[in-house]
Amino acid sequence: MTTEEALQTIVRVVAPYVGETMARSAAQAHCQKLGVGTDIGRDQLDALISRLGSGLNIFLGREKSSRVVTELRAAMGFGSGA
Amino acid sequence: MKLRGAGVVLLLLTVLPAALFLGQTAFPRAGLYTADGYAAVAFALGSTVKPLLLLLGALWAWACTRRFESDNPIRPGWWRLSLGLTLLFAGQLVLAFYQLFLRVPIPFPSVADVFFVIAYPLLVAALVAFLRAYEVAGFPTGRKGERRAIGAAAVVLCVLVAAPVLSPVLAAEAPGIEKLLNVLYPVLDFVLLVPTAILLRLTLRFRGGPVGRIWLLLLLGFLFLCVGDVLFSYLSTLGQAALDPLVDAMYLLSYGSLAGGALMQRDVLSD
Repeated sequence: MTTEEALQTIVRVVAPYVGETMARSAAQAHCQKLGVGTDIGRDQLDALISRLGSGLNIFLGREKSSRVVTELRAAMGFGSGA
Repeated sequence: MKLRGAGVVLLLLTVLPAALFLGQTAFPRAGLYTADGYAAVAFALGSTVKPLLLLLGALWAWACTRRFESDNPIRPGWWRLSLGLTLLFAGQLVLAFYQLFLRVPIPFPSVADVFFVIAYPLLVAALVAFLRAYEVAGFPTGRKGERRAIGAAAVVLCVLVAAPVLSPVLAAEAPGIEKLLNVLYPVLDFVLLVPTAILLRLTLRFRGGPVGRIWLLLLLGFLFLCVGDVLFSYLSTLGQAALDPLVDAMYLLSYGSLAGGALMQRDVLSD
């Protein structure tokens, strides 16, 4: 998966909570910290989603942020056990 | 996010009386404001709605505190805000008791000031805890240097406003405790303004989603509170009772905004 595709999916799922600007800049900042290039690997994607989930937890609570993480993982093509 | 039952009631409870008092400030000689019985109605309205808004705000803030997990870094901030709002409610309840039941002018200082003075450090501590939580969240919230610059600018602004506001308060002939409180409230507000300004900058990055709206409302609540307190100290020292409706409007907007932010956060946690 290209990083841009992943970013678009993240913005689509996360923007309804934190706004489009923050959704995109948060994902980009985490990508930078994870050393993601133009393509993103499965492990990197997993780490990226986990980091976003931890941040959302602070504003949405654990239950809702878990739901957002599940939705993100599904949108990224992770299986339920992934 | 749609405005639902409690939100609509809160909006009406806040905006209608605030608009009435702002109108009175702007057009004191308008027919409505000079009509027989208006003063009594306005007096009762202000005395009732202010504690009611604070009660709602405190209840919703406590609901948020309970719903955030015990290890959530933002929970201490909500706990302090809940307690601060509860104390402000207790203070306003005391004022309402004087106004509605004893029907005597509110003494200054009164028991209410005990609650108010304890509430402010809690509100400052809540904002500091919120700032820490923002940092822990790991969202890009700008450079530390930018935050320091905003904090420093807020301090400079407070000093610039403090000089003209506090000079007549300090120069006024008033009992020591009254003078102390008239200085203390604006000073506590200026302390409150520094983290509010930093959080406001961070919050603007969340625009477009409920998180941004929640925080914008909460921070507007703190801003209106500061303006209300500074006006109260300044005007009461100068004996400018004609502008009391403006002070009432600021408090109504403050308490309504704080309650609105807490309600929206509770709804986000419960959906």
